[in-house]
Amino acid sequence: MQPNSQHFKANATAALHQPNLQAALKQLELGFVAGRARCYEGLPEFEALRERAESVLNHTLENLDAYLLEYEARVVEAGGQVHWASTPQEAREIVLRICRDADARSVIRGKSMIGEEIGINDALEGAGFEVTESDLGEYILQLGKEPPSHIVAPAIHKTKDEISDLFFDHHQALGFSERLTDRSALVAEARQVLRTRFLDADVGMTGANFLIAETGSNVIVTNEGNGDLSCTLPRVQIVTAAIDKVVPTLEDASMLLRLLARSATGQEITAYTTFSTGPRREPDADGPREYHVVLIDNQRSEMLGSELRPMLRCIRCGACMNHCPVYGRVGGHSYGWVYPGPMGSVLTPVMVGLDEAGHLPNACTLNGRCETVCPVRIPLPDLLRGLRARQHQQRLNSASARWALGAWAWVARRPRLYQFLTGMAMPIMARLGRKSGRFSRMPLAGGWTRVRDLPAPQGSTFQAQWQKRGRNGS
Amino acid sequence: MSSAKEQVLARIRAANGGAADPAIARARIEAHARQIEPAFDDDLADRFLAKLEAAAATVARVSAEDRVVTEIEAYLERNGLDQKIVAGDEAVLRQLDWPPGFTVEQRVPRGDDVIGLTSALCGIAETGTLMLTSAAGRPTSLNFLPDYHVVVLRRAQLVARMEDAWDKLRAEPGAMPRTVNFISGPSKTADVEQTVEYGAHGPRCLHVVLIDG
Amino acid sequence: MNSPNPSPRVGLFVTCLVDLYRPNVGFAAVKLLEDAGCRVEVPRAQTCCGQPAYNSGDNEHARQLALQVLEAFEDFDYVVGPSGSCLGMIRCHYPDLFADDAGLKPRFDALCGKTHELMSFLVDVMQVETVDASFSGRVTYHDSCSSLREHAVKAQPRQLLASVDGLELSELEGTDVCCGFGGTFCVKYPDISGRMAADKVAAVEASGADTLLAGDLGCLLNLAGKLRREGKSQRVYHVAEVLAGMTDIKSIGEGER
Repeated sequence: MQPNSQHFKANATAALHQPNLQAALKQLELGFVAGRARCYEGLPEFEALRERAESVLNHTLENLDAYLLEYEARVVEAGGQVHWASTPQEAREIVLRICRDADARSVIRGKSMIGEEIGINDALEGAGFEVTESDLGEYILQLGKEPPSHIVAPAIHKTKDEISDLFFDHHQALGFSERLTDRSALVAEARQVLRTRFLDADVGMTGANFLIAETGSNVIVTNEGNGDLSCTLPRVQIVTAAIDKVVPTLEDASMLLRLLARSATGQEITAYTTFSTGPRREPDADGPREYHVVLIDNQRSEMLGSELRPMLRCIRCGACMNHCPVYGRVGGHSYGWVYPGPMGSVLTPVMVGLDEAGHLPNACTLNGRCETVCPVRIPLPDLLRGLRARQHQQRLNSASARWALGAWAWVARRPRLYQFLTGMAMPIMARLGRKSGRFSRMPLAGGWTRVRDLPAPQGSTFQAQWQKRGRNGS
Repeated sequence: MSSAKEQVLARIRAANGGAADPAIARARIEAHARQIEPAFDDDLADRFLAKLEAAAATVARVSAEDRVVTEIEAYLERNGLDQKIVAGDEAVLRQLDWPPGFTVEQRVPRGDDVIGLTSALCGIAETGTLMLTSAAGRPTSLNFLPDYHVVVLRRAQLVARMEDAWDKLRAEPGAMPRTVNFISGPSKTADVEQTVEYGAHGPRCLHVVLIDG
Repeated sequence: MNSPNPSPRVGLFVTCLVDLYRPNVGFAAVKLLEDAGCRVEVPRAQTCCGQPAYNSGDNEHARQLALQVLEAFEDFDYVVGPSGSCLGMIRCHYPDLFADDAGLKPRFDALCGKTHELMSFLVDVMQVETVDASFSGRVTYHDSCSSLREHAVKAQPRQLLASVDGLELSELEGTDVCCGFGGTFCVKYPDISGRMAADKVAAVEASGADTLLAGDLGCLLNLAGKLRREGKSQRVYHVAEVLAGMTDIKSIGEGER
């Protein structure tokens, strides 16, 4: 999708005034945040798990080339093929080639963020393939031609009414003549429509929550069973996965799975966790005849060599956005690309450019709640601050901001001058604000007074009063 | 070697300050050491079934193998279902003695089959999870296509954790099966207004029969 | 718990917001520290901790200000101030800024080891259990993100508030969620910041409290400003002012009665 991150501010302001979105975001807090908290109350090993997960993933990153090669060797042994892609463009070309070589016509997709990242749907549709998203949320968005607004619950912003309209509009041609309003009926109708697509699809595409170096398996985690059908029924399976998805062993994956669902949706484990390894074996009753993995870099190897390296531990649980007070007010679309919230504010500038996504690292109060819930202990506020430093170094922040910072720092490094100036200014400001105790407008402070008053200062500065009282100072 | 592969590996190695020693990775894989495992001391069967029920599966305990058919018959009757079953080809299922009126077929399911019957390699008590593996007589689609999934397993098949299940799988002959499914409840979705609905794409109902003898 | 030196020499890091906006908080901090037996000094060569530069990605200016703080404060037994945010900058982030400077890193590590947010210092280091103060009213307490996450300050202010005569504490719903201040965030993204503050104000109302307390002046100016803008009557004080019994002046943002 085309990034729209430079309009973050306008997107956010619009989002703040959408009552349906605001209600959905409130519900997210009640559901995911409370569910996660309940889940971890019953798990005294949580901190130990986080620490171990962090160290296992750090070890994997330190030996990433070796684990990727081990993984590739196991996939090939199992009869599968591994394709490497540096860029989204390369990844799209590989997927298209596999589909063409297989004489495929239709593709069924299990929800995957990397698919969004490389824009695979547009590429496939542009090349004439019929593409169906099978995750219910993604299917709703496909009908509405919208991007996901959350990495785990992609259609969180859609109301039942909107879904009723979308289904009514798109399913009439398939023989469904009634506009349904009952939630169960909507789910049942989607099941019926999508069941046919599953059975007809030539190619099934999924992402991977993990790749296992030990066995050459890819792991997907779902509640609907859609990804599982996507990799079972079609004759060709394509797995798109980023290079940071590899973990050494089945045991490592088992540990990470303990963190993933709890952090994501407040479940101990999702309904389905499926490990696929190569194509079907000769005597197998079903399963794909071809198994392809597209390993995608897309800037991750660059991140590996930078201060953003810890971001490569991310297991895409979404806990950071569920707990982010900014995401919780503005929703995922405001961020303008595939990944929203704190993790998206790190990834998007790297993947679409710091100039395009310059708002994202700044649209954060650095309150740190995301870091405390991250199951793999990614220091998200530090990483966002690191991106701000890049912006400053590359002079991507505004000239006026740079000038103001420089001027302020120049004065702040001269305590006597600073105290002289503030000692003069504050009493004047105090006198001006004495009557009402506040300012509702203030030159140069429009950002502040747009939404709140500015309390008036008390009077003389502390330093001035302290000196006057003849207290010690040095 | 493809050029993209060379480029990706070269960038990784540059970022890591050199190529990793493959022996380190191989040694860690061969050790496949267990990581952190949550402690619990409940009875495996009690925990396994309680966790499944908490995830909206239904469960039944029967005292012996010859009670399984009666239990399934009762389950079908409770749910108003025809006695038409597509079953996997597995030892525990082969021994079942179906009464007249039942149609039990061993085949790959179609999109409109209603009841799928399988066993499982094992049941995991920690999370109330079934582990099913694909093979000649065990189509993976049987775990997902029918509306009702009935799973029969013996108490002796229960293990404590997923790591124990891996050990069990490693002890089986042959390589890693094409598909390993961990199933912890019926199919569900919360994609419509964050409210849970069952039967999104996979089975609406999961019924687990544990032979307790 | 380390056994305290009964009368340590404490350098008060006033913080620029307290210095400029609310000197009463500084004097309250001095009183609380002296009551706890500390010898308090206020180095004159202090202005700002450098956090605005650091959080804007301007690490060079942040380093220069960090050096100024180091030179003014490294000889004290402790560095203490009435803000989780500014003291968190010294304690948690200065060492990172000098991670590659073998000469300065040890000095910053040492500074970090003796730097404390006021509530944490009083309770955790000086082992103060009660204060001698009274305040009539029902208060609610907002945990500032930096106090909560950089100093593990949660129980300490509540413990001390429990000893204030006449004070009743009514907990704030969602007290671990940011108020929307966020330094320059609040002026760069006023609409988002304003909504966060509005939600916090709603929580303050729902708590039934007549007074809002917190340990960071940034949060307090933001929330007092939002309360006033919405025409609410709740008073706003820094927790140190209440604990020191220094609430005989107008609350933050309050006009003439």
